[in-house]
Amino acid sequence: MIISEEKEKEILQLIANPQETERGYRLLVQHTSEPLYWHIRSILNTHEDADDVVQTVFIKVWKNIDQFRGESKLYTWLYRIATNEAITFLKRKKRQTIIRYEDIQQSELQSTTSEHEGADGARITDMLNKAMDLLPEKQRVVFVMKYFEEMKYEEMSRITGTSEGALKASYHHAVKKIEKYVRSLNL
Amino acid sequence: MNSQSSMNEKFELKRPTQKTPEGYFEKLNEKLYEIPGKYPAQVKVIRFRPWAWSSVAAVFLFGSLLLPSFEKQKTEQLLTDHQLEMMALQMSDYLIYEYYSELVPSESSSTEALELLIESGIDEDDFYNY
Repeated sequence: MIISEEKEKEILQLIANPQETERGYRLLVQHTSEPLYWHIRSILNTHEDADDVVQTVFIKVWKNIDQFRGESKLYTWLYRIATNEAITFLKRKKRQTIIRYEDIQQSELQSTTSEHEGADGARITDMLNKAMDLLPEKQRVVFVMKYFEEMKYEEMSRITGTSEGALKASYHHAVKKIEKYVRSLNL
Repeated sequence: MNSQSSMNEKFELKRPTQKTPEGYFEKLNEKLYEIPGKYPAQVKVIRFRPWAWSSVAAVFLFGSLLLPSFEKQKTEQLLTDHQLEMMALQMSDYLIYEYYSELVPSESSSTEALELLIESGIDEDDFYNY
């Protein structure tokens, strides 16, 4: 949970009052921009992309703020918008630059053989990012939510609108593919 | 410890190299605070004209006639039950052992199970790997 129940209530009350909506929005930004940024960053990897998308997310939040009916938790609604925007961004980017598995694998092999043998944190992160680039968007998002953000499947299900069983399978596929990629590097 | 610092700690732990520029979040929030000024709240007025109502009715009628057969066709085109059963039999690796059985409640058909697998983000390569 990224906002306490009390804070969420306060924000919702402000938003519901047309005179105070903007104040409510500012409070929302103050409490959620950072965790949402990290959520998006972990899906998209680069700061520049995450920076673009987090701004798009808040534009959408502001434009639709009057439509939030309180049927779900505020943070669930925010995560859903952020996740969907990140997926849309990934799809658009994928169309622009087609990542070829073999190319990435080859470049990784070259870099691992030319560099030193010890696997430090930076290299592991880099390797994980490259492995994640190979995942379909949905699997990538599920992997991020489960592995990095340690979300429960129940919570993920509310955010993504996907059944828990499907999320488990999705996570498993993602882990298998990442494992396969890491093994192919023969570290 | 608040949730934001807890979230950051998780990232520090698992992604030691992920950083943001100095003072980024302050600058980001400043930009985000400007959004209401740039995108003023719009009053949405939905006006229905008589011709629009008839179009809506026509679309609804057309859709209600076509949708059931379309859905059925889509499922049938995907794979027949027999093919699915054969596929399930061939799926002997860990994933299927662990998840296919979990995804198939006794009362549901294999088609539903496959739909769940597809929903899970399984892609073409996953199928060919089995």
